[in-house]
Parts: sequence; structure tokens; C-alpha cells
Amino acid sequence: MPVAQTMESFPASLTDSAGLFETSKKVTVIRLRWLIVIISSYLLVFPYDAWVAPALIRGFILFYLLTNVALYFVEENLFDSSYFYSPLVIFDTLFVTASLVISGQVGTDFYLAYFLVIILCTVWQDFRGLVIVAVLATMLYGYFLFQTTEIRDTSIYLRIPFLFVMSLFYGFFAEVVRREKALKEQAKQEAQDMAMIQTLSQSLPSSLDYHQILATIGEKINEVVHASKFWVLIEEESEAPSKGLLFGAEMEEASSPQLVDLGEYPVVQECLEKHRPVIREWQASVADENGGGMNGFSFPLSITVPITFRGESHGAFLLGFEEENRILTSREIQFCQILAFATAVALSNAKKYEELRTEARRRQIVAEELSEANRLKSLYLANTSDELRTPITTIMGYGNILMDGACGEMTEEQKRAVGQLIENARGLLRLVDQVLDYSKLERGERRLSMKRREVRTLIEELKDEISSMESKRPYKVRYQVEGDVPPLETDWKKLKSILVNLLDNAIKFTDQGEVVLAVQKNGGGQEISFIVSDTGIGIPKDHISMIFNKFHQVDGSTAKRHQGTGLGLTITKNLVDLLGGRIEVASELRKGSIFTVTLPVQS
Amino acid sequence: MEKNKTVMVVDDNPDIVTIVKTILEGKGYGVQSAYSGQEVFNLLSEKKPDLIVLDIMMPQMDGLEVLTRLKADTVTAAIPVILLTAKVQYEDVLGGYKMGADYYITKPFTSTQLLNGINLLLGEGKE
Repeated sequence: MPVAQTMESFPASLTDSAGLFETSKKVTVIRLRWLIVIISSYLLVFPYDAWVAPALIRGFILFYLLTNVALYFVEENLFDSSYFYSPLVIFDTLFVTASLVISGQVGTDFYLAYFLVIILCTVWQDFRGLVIVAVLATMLYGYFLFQTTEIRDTSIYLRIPFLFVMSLFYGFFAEVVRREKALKEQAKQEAQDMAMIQTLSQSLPSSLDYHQILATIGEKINEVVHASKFWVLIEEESEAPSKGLLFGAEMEEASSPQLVDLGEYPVVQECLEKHRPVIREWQASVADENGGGMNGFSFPLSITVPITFRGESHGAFLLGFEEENRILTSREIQFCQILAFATAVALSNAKKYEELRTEARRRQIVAEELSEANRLKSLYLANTSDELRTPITTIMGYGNILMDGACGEMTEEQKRAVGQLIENARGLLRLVDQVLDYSKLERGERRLSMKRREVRTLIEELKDEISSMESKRPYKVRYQVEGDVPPLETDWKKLKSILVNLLDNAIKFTDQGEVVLAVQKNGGGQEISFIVSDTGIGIPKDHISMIFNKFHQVDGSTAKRHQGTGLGLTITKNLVDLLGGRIEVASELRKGSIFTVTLPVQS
Repeated sequence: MEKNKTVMVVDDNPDIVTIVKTILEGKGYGVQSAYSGQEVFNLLSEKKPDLIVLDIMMPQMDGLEVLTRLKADTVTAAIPVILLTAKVQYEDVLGGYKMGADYYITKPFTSTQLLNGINLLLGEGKE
């Protein structure tokens, strides 16, 4: 039968003790003392046989009265300190005893009864019991008083409440001390719990491994609850909604988890549905038959606590207790819940971490595959261009042999034909070289050999290089080098490639008009700009941003008319980047294009 | 020409061999043709050439291996070797020289390039 235990029972034991404690301690103490002052005064004023001077007695009473008045001026919080009220109680005891001695009306048997009552009152744990003792003592005393003493005056009735007042007085202080002790004990326990939770919250989230987390829980639970057996059932959504992983551990041995059906564990299901701990007594075995998991889960007492965090349910843990008559205190249940919460947080973190790691691993694999594919592509390009060189060599070789007349003299017409052959083979070679250059750049080969030189020497080299390209055009490339262009430090071979590529493009796309290469200093003599402008077909606006992409040509028809790999500008851009410069394009369709390469004078 | 020097041409591509042979014979050189690395050593046992024009990319035994073996053998170490190859990258050229090549010509080549190289190595530049 499930037993519902609630959390409120713990503080309840402290609050029901008395209405007396609702008023402030100071007021209560002073009120109780007034009673004692009155009784003591009575004892002193009506002595049995006056053997002390009346003046001294009056002084005595006045002094005692004043001490109680003085208490009104004492700070409230001093009454909480045992260093203050202990001397007070001793002082009062001495004073009352002195009063009794002075009044001299009672025998030793009264003193015995008096101290017995005091001891009873202080030892008595219950406030109600204290009151009963006080009343009984008073009645007994009254009875004996009237039995043994002949009533000489009515003042004798005032003696009757003496014991009652004394009982209340001492009972009150005894209770104060007890309460203080209880509070201290509670604070100590709370501190212990807090320390436990703290170490738990430190040790749990730092591990992201299920087994580690579960082992830590087992350990921590054992520190407080001392269960006979301990299991954790983790819901396994990836398998099936009703499946779970059962981590069985008899505290020490951590066995490997088993996949089980949650339906076999009604306790767990109930617990997960209610989202609160379920405590059972003599729960019959739930999974004996299948021989695994929690077989023999039959305990005089068991508790099942859900592991949930932010509405996300991870499972539950079960504790079984073998001892007979074991009762779970609210503190233990609370501890289990805190533990379950910490576990849920840790598991939640572990899950997220696992997800992130999987994702990161997947991305890394993709990145590696991509980089490998890229490397293979570059390698393939390099190999292909090497392979292509051989047939080109053959074509050009045979062409040259023919031209040299090694196979007999040729007619002019034959010579022209062979010349075309060689010229086209050379064009093909240029394309192959571009592919090779590109694959080199792709593979990150960026060796630079920097030299300081005059730009004019480069122009002379360019003229030679370009002449075969411009031979079929009605115009010649114009070179405009400003007079004050400073010497430039750069990789001249690469700069030449850049300019040859740009001029080659310009000539290729300009049937008539002109192509100009202008060189001018820029940025206050810190930079030099090489400007290649043409009056060719131009580039559509929406293509300008893409022209530096590899294999991009404006469209199929132009590609057909103007052969090329489409790699030229990509290589050019890469080379410019390599030299620490920048390249800019301005173009208008059917009007022409301007490519500006700007390089720093000093690298 | 006067001394009728002999050049061995090694290339797995018969067209290249033919082209080199045609160019060289036109200039009066005697030419031995080899179409694989192994053939080089067969021919060497018959007659030692004055110079070897060697391709790199060949099946089975490649040009660099042939080169290494030639330079390792004291009998053949003195024969100048021109590498004539489609491998045009900086590392290839450097590697070729490091392995003992005397000259490096990249494909495609012109007859002038080839003859200049041979003249340089055989000391007939003044002609």
C-alpha cells in the first residue's frame, strides 16, 4: 500500500510547543520574574520568625524589585544568549532560596519537594507535561500546607502558587535551551545537506559520461540514505518510447546497462506520470520472471524518484531497503529529490554534449572529405596538364621538323598550314599551363621570389609575349607608363602572368578598337596601378561579381567564340592576392572593360 | 658532326623519339633509340653513347631511376644526361638536377632548345 509522506512534518514538531513562545522572550522573562518577585517579597514581608533586621529585608526586596525593573532596559537580543540568562537563573534561584531561608516557615522536606519540582520541570521535554507537573506540585503543596499548618493569617494562601510559578520559570528556561539546541542541530544538518548538494552539483555536471554520473549518484545516495539496492532507469527514446536502460548497481558493482521494457516497472511508470516520488511498502517483485534487471525487487520499503529537469524526463531511480521497520524521513526524501534534480541536470548536459560532439564530428568528416576531394582535384588537374603536354609536344615537334625541311622542302601553302598547326598547339599549351598554374595555387604553393626592378623592363617583355596574340587584330596594344613610376619590389614572373592574362583576355574579347595598358603611381607613391582597358564586348553587370570564380565565362556562346578554360581570371585574382595587391573591374556591356591591378611598391 | 657523335634518345612515346631522332640526324648525330628504361642498359652494353636524352614519365622503370643507375655506375657516370620531360614544375626541375641531370628541357620543346642543350654539353657551342 502506498504511503503518502509529506514534507511539512519536520518543522511542525517545533511550532506546536506553546503560545508562550509567541510573545518576545524578554517580556515573558520579566513577567515570570514579577511573579517570583511578588512571592519572594511575600516570604520576606511575613517571616515566620524575624531573625533579620526589617530594614535589611526592605532593602533586600527593593533591590530585587529594581533588578526586574532594570531588565526592561536590557537589549532584547541579550535574552537569546545563554551567557545572559544562565547567570540570571542562578541569581534568581539563590534569591528565592535565600527568601525561603529568611522566612523560615518551611522544613527540609519542603526544600526537597522544591528542588524536585525544579528538576522535574527542567527535565520534562513537553510543555504540557511541565504545566501538569507545576499544577500537581502546587495542589500537593497546598494540601500539605493546610494539613500541617494551623492558619494564622490569610496570607498563607499566597504561598500556594509559589511552586507553580517556580515550575513555570524553570520550565521556560529549560525549553529555551532545548529549542536552541534543536535549532543548532537543524542548522547543522542543513549545512551538511547543502555541502552534500554542493559537492554533488560540482561532481555531477563535470562528467559527461552516463556511467560516471550514475556511479556518482550511487555514491552520494549511500552517504545519506544507505539503501540496500540502487537502480537507475533511463528512458531510451531512440529505441522506443516505452523502452529504458536499466543501470543496476548494488552500490559497489556497476554492471552494464540492460535494455528493458518500462511496462514491466509499474512503480517507475506511476512515478513518471505523477512527477513525484513514490514510496511503497512490501512491493511485490516486478520483474522476477524474465530473470534480468531488477529481479528480486522485493523490499520492505522502496522509493522511486523521477529524474526530471525543465519538464524533460530522463527516467527514475529506485532505492530498496532491506531493514525491517525502516522509515524514510522527510529529509531523506528531500535529499533524494535534490539528487534526482542534479542528476537530471547532469544527464541533460551529457545529452546535449553528446549531440554537439556528434554534430562536430560529422562536420569534421564532411570538411575532411571536401578537402580530400579538393586535393585530388588539384592533383588530377596537375597530372592531366602533364599528360596533355606530351601530345602537344608531338604536334609541335612534328610541325617544327616539317618547317625545318627535315622531311623535304615544302611549298609556301604547306608551310602556312603547318604554321597554323604549331600556332594552335601553342595556344593549347597556354591553356594547359593555366590549368597547371591554377592547380598549383589551389594546392597552396605560394613561393615568391621578390626583386626590385623598373617597370619599363617588364613592358619590353610583355611586348614580346603579346605580339603573337595581337597579330590577328587590326590594332596594337598601347603602353602608357607615367614618367614618375618608382621601381617596384615584387615577384616579376607572377606580375607578368597577371598582365599577360589580362591583356590576353582584353585582346580576345576586343575585335576592334583598342587595348591599353597604363601604369601609374597611386596612393602617394606607395602603390602602382596597372590598368588594362579595352573596347571589347564588356561584362554584364550581374556577371561582374562572378568573373573571378573558376570556370566562369559569361555564357556558352561567347565561350564558343572565345576559347579558354575560364581559369585565367581566377588565377589572376589569386596571383594578385599572393602579391599583396588588389584587382578591380569596371565594365559596360558592348563598350569595354577596365581591369585595375594595384600593388604596393614595397612588399 | 665531324666526330659523328652518338646520342641515345629514351622515351616511351615513339613519336617523341622520332622527332628527336629526326632533329639530331639532320644535324649529323648518330642516334640510338630506346623505348623503355630497361632498353637503355641493353643498348649501353653494345655501345656507349656520348649523350643521353631521357624522358621521366615511363612505365616500369622511370627516367629518374634510369638516371640514378647511370650516375651510380662509374662506367656510365660521365655520360651527360638531358632530361626531356613534360614535368614542368619547379620541384621537378630542381629534383632532376639534384639527381644528377646535366640539363633539363621541358616539353614541348623546339629544335633550337634541344640543339643548344646538346651543344652546351658536348662543347660544340662555338660552331
